Amino acid sequence: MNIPNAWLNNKFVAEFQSNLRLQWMTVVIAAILLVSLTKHFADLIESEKQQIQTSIDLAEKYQRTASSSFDTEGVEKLKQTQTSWLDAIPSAFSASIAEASALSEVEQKVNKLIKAKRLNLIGSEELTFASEVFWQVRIEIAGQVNPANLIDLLANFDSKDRHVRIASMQFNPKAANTVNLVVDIMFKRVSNA
Amino acid sequence: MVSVFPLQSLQLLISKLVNRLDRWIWPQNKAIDSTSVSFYQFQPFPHGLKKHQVSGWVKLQKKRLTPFTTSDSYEFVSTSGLHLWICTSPFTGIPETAAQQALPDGQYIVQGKNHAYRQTWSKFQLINCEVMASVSEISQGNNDITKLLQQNEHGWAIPRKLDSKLRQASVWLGIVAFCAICVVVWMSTAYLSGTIQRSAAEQQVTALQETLGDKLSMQADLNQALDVVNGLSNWHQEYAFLPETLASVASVINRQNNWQLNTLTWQNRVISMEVYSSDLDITQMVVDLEQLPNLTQINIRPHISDNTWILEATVK
Repeated sequence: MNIPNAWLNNKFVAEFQSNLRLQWMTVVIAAILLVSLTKHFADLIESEKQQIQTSIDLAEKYQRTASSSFDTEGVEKLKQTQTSWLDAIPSAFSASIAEASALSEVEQKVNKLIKAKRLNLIGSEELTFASEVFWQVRIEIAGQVNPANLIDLLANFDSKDRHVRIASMQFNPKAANTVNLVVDIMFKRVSNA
Repeated sequence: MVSVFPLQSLQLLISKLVNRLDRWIWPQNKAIDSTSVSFYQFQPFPHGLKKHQVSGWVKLQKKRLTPFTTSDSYEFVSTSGLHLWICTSPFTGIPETAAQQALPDGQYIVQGKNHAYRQTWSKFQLINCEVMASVSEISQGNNDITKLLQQNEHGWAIPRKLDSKLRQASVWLGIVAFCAICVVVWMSTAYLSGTIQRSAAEQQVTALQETLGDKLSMQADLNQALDVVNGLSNWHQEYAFLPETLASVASVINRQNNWQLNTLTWQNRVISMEVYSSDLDITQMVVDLEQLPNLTQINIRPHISDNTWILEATVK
């Protein structure tokens, strides 16, 4: 059997050849397929390009590492500094525990120095440095402080305490020695496993 | 000089380019008849004529417009109607006015090889064309523009094969298939070269990882330590330190005389103090404060109360 003749005699081919609308519809479908094929390939190449860039960046980074010499002493010093910083920050298992600890610490620091005090927990915020996670707890302290006690009060929040900082303060000796102090206290997250 | 609108000249340019493409794809040398005397008729399409009715309408018009029983004709169907050249004797080629170049809108006297023509052109289509009685008629006072007939195989009324081909679905199917092949080849090449590049980079990474060994983990530890130390240190110093700042400012004021603090405000690294003192050399005080290494932007202004000053300083 002659295949081309069989093909030409096929009723679908005959219908296609005689039906102009069918021919144009086929062109439209082919064009749509072409556009989607192009889009699919373009997306594929784009993702491939990103992977290549990632691999090249990594290779360059490793090459830089290979060509640079390590100051082992410097690394050790930096690790010690990191340890000293981490040791200076108290730990907490959760944000709630951090908030409770912060309130307790502030209470302890200002208890004898501020009269008619009110502590207000403003909130806590999670901070991440490298793989270490921390919680910063913000507390507002309001009350009255004797001007003679101001130095003692501030000494509790000076730069030696590396997990505490004063965000803002208003002290008004003329208006019944009122004081309004906002402090941040940092806690590092530890897992309770 | 005939002025041509930019749109018309663009149309003309496109038409010329398409003609050239058409002749490049289907080269042909058609004879041009410049001897036969023919008369020209233009019949615009009637309003509402459907596309599939055009061929029947053209046949009808040919029959209607041909006055001779034995004659030859040359026809060209443009976008606006039927252009018909009729001759009593058979044409020996394409009539020279069909093979001439299209002219911008206007009336012209055109000198052909053997005959002269009075022509009217509109939208680059010949609307009217009369063979003039004699060439000497040209010189008799009329204001029409005289042009030498330039004939070539890209004549305005020579049908282009390209036009008929572009009306066929199979041709478009072929174009789409060609584009698809191009896209597949181009994209496959790009993908293949990308894969080769990626695999080379990955091999390099693996080789470097093996070579570096401990150095990489040390580098990671170093980066981690640096991030933690910088992060915590920046956090601690973000708002500066009120106790130390107050101490340094107070030590400067103490040099002058007894003083009293009325208000103290600390926010955004700025300390603001309302200070009362019966005897204060504020110039000297500002000079002394400016010498403190951790302070900048020292401002002092009088309060409404006597001997009271508002002092502001920003921590660097």
